[in-house]
Amino acid sequence: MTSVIPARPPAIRLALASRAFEAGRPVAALARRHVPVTASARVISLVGLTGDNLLVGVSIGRPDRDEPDTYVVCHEPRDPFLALRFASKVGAMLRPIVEDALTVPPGSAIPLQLWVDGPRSAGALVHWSHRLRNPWLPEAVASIEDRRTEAQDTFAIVRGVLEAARIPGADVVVDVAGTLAGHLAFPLADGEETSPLHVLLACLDLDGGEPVIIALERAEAGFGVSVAADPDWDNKILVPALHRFKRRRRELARGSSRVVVEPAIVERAAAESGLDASIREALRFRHRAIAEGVRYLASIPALPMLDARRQRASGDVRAELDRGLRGDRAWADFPKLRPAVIDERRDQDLAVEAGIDAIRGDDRAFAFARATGEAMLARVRSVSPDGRVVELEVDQPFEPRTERGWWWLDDGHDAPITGVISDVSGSRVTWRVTAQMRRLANNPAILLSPTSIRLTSHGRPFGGWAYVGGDPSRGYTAPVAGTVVPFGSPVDFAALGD
Amino acid sequence: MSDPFAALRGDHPPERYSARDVMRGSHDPACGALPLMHAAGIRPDTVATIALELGVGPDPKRGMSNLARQQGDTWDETLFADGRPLVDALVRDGYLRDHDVDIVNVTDHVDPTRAADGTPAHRGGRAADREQRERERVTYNRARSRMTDRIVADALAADRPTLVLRGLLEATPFLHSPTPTFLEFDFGLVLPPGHEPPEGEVGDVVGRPPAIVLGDGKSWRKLPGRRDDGDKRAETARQVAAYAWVARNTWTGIASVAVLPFGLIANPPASGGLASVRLTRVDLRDHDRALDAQLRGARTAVADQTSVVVTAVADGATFFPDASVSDPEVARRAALRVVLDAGRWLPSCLSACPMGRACRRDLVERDAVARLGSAADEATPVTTIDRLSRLRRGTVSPTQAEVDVAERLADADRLLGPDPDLPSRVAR
Repeated sequence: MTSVIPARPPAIRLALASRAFEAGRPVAALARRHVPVTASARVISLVGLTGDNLLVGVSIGRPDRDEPDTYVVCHEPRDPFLALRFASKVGAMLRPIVEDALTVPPGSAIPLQLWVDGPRSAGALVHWSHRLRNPWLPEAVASIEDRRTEAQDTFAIVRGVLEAARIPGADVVVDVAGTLAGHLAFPLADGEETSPLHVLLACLDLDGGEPVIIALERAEAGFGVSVAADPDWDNKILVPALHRFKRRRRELARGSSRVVVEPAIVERAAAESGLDASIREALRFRHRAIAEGVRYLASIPALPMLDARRQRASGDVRAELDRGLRGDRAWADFPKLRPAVIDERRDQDLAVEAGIDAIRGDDRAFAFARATGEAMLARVRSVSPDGRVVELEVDQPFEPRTERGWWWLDDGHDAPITGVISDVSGSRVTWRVTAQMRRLANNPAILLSPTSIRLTSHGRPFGGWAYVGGDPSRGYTAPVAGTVVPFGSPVDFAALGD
Repeated sequence: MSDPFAALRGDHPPERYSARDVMRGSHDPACGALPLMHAAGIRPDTVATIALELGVGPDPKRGMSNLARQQGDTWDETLFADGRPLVDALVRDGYLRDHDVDIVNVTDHVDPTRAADGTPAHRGGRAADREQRERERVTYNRARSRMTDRIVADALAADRPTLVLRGLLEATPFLHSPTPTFLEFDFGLVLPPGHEPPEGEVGDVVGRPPAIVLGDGKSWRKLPGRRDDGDKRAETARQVAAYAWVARNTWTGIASVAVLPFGLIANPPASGGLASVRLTRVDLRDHDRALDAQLRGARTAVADQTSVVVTAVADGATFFPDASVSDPEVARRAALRVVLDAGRWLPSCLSACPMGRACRRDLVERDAVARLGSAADEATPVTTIDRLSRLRRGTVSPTQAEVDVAERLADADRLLGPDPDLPSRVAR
């Protein structure tokens, strides 16, 4: 899962924490929502066996409803038959959702979005799906029911979804707890205290009246919603129901190894033992919590560029999902170096673009960038006639993180005005323009008219950098202007092709 | 007063510490409460329960799922029934040249009718039996520890490698523990001189005869490559490091120098049954350093707190007051105060230590800035949240030491501007 939510610099984090603790309730950390909530978003809830990476239930539903639409339950995930049957049902549940998402025209944003409670749930899906890659079924009993191929298809679909979720800005799988913690400053310590979703939801009810610690301890004492169930829930509800189920199933099957896996027998034993109802109730509980979190996030005004962001990622998302639907078995855990580097560059580009959208569309994100010296708000005092030197005045002490690559954030042109900060003296800043100076010379009013302009060095790391040559100590020789530097050997253009 | 820390514990037998307790301090070596409780011979779980009884902390709630327990037991059975899957894995990964290896389960040599921790299985849980049970547990574990030493010494002189299962280490004198403390490692591979494994990456490291590699079995699955859960593995590495660290410091002669600075974790494979083992090698050197630092820090902390404990005990502080104490609650509160004052809370304490929630509540009552979590590092030297708020709002003048943080806060506050309104929680 890769959600692009601006991170708070340390001083901002401290100030926000101080505000939240003083108010005794959460305060907004960002002004806008940086994660989309698509119209076709689904909540996916998982219940697992504590101590192992096995799922006992999955449900899918809409965030505007308190009840999941579909439940799939595995009554005994350690039984290879039932585990594979469960896997094939999960695959059948996911396939139409993924297929529907891919019906949009190529190039448009792919609306697939699955919300989970926290990062552990996404991790549990990864762990569980690995069991399906090369599923195990005793050969002696494979003739009764063999769903290994379907399980492998499920592995491919889950893997496709999880790979798509890693693409920055795609927001295919999103965790509610992390997203809430990214957008709000809670009156809580960071780390483990802010990771449980039910604790964050309890804090949303605070209004500064009730002491935070009381609400916090009350929430922590209740059941958690992470994928591995609460030990109390395990010991008091799941384990007794599992024992009853196994006993009842044996009784109904009367010792037959064929009858024991018949769906009717399994369903009846699960219903009579109360196991099915227990797991469904746990799934419903999780669904409600996740849905509440999603609805809360949906009520925060969204960043305007979210659709464009998803659109940029759509090609890569489509490729991964297509691969999953095709049932590709050859997912490499260690991709070869070259494709890995290409993927990494692509991901970095998408993350940088998403980061620029964030600081452009959210004042708070812009403030975060200002706090780290990566952005400034300035009044333009003068523009030199050749458009190469711009004198700026900033409203508060400013220490740029870098001198290079400063560009006008609100430039409507395809190539923004870009330059180098050459001098900072008190509130006066000199910006030497290295790109688009002719446009600026022709029309200096584009900078002089606004009361203030926003500059940033965020992203576009090489844009407008003046070439100064390599470091002589490392063997580079700075080129002399006007001198043609020959290639080391003649270039065979024919060999390069068209 | 003979031992002020024992007096702080009071009328209660010293409690035993396990490998997990030994590791706990390495999460936060600067916490003074853990060494203090250790020196007093009282476990953090007990102190957390006392805090609950006194209304100072919430229910520590340290339940463990029986499913996880069952899973662990099943895996241990697979791993240690005859050690064969483990030997297969050791051969496959190059730690052993072939299957010609002695397998010794230490528990087979010391009264096998005992429970895993050494307590006699046939005895009931009546209070009258507790002291006797504890004596027997200690006697049994000492015997097992001595047997482990003997087996390892013999294995180092043997003509083939030995796989030692369920070995035990006694850490009591090494850790200056007031109560007998034992650590059980799941397996150890002893390679006598001349029996280094084949050439290759593993051989290069292991092939420094004689060599001992310690390891632990964990029932969670090993996923391929970078998909594996690094957090769990790092936590287990810390545990294996505790074994190697204690072994290196308590074994004598050649065995002490033969313990290698890496360990093994034995997991089931990503898919399939539990009949085969996947090994992961983990580097222990950093943990080793952290454990050394923890031990030094603990000794310093205990030395630093001795005068505090002496004063508190003289004023009647004790966790388990005897019948002569007129107001037992006051005595217990005072003892608890000593522990809470020595503590240093971090968010990770919530999962690492039973006292995590009691310490947190104490921070709230003191309005301590540590309550903010890692953001508190930025607030140094400000000590309270209220003071921090006032500095941020500019309603108080900062002291000389506070000037930096006040400036940073004011700048940040100015950049943030007023908080945007948050929507109210959407009704169901």
